[in-house]
Amino acid sequence: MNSLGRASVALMLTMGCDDGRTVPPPAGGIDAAGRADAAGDPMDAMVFADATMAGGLDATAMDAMAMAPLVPVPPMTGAFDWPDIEPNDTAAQAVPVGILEGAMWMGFGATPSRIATNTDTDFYVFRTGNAASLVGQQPMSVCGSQGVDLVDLYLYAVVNGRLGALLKSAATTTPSCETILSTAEIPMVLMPESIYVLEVRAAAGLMLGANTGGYNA
Amino acid sequence: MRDMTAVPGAIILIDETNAKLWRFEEAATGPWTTAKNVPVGSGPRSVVALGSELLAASTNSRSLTVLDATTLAQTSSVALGDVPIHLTARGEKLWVTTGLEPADRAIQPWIRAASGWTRAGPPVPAAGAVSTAVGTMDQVMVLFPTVAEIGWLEDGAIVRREAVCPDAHSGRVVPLAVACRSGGIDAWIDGTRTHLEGGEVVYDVVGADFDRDGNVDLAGIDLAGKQALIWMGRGDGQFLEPRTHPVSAGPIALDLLDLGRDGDLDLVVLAFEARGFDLLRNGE
Repeated sequence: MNSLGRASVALMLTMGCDDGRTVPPPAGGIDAAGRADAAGDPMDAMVFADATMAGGLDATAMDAMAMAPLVPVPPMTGAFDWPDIEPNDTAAQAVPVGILEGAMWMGFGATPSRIATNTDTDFYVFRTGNAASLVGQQPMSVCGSQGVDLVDLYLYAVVNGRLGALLKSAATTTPSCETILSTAEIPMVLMPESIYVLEVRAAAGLMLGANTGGYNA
Repeated sequence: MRDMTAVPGAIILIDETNAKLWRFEEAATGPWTTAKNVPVGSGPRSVVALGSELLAASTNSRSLTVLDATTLAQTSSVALGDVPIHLTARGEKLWVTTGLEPADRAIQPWIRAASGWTRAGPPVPAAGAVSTAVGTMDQVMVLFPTVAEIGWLEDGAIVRREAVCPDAHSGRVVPLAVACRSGGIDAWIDGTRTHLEGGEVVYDVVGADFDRDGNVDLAGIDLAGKQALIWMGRGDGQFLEPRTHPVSAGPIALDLLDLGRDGDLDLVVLAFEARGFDLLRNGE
């Protein structure tokens, strides 16, 4: 084979993804399991996150931050895989996956990524590259593989190594996919050279039955 | 999209999200066309072609869907009793790697009988295994990437374990070779393992005599470098430095097919991030 002529064929598969609208999570704070919920509207959470990063915290916010769990530090290598390595049920156990490049990769490992129970949750921690790397990224979507509303998604800031505010959530009730950030939203919501936590949580009211609850991205 | 297989004149892709198989057909002229798609069991994960049949393994339904490779008509469904994660087939034989958790892994041997697919023996315990590859003499290699070992399936047991590159990802035939996520490939030439350097994160490998000189050549795909790698065999167990060819973003699977039916073996690369596949035509 002295040379290769290359042609590319784009696929037109219907992904079945939702419209990416956000639904506020339950009000909360940070519970004993390390699951964090910012109260109220996601936009409020965004404002809180900005304030946090700017250092403008009041005493209550400072206390909350001090109680937030430390999250693992993601490596400086590309996030080629987002393996569902249990236990990753809390932010402190989040799987460190590296730098967001191109697309999230879930479900490529030998062990399928899955929601194991009706209340299971999987945490991943990743970092962003420079500003240019955030432009044109694939949407941050996670898809179930059984035609039910399997997962909801929650994106958190990480501040001083600890779980910070909820930045955005995606909790539609449509089956198949949740999209937490579209291509256009990624450079607007994610800061360059920063660390974030993504929570893949069993959708509210999930009834898995005998299924294994596999998901992929 | 996680897996694909090439059949004469077409490429079969797994669509996990919609639990479907898609068949893309080579047109006489113009672009490839999406000929058809069909539903398969929930959570499809691996597909192989075996003669005129396709076998698709589905994790949620814990089953095999058997289809006609041309029409995609389902001919039967086979209950596996466990979660399948990988398929390897050759001739009338099929090896299914099963088990959701690594500790629970096993290899199920199946055989195609006149009455359909039937078990050829009890499951073989294979804790930590992720996949198998089968050689031309039906020798079955089992990959254990976390301990950087392979083993050989013989007489219902895994024997002769030996070292392999760390994080070995997938194995192929002719010759037996595995892709190394740690870079390069490992190939067994005349029974001896040889590591061939090339690429940073190699996800898949195939072997064939691309230039019809009688020597086996190897091709791999490098996820990080977004390139295909071609190692031309010299015939003495050694290979030339790999030639590289750019491919679309996120190459995860590779297969052989004969584009244009000219007798030359060409390559198809499934590119996850680009949501498409690249066709690399031999000789151009």
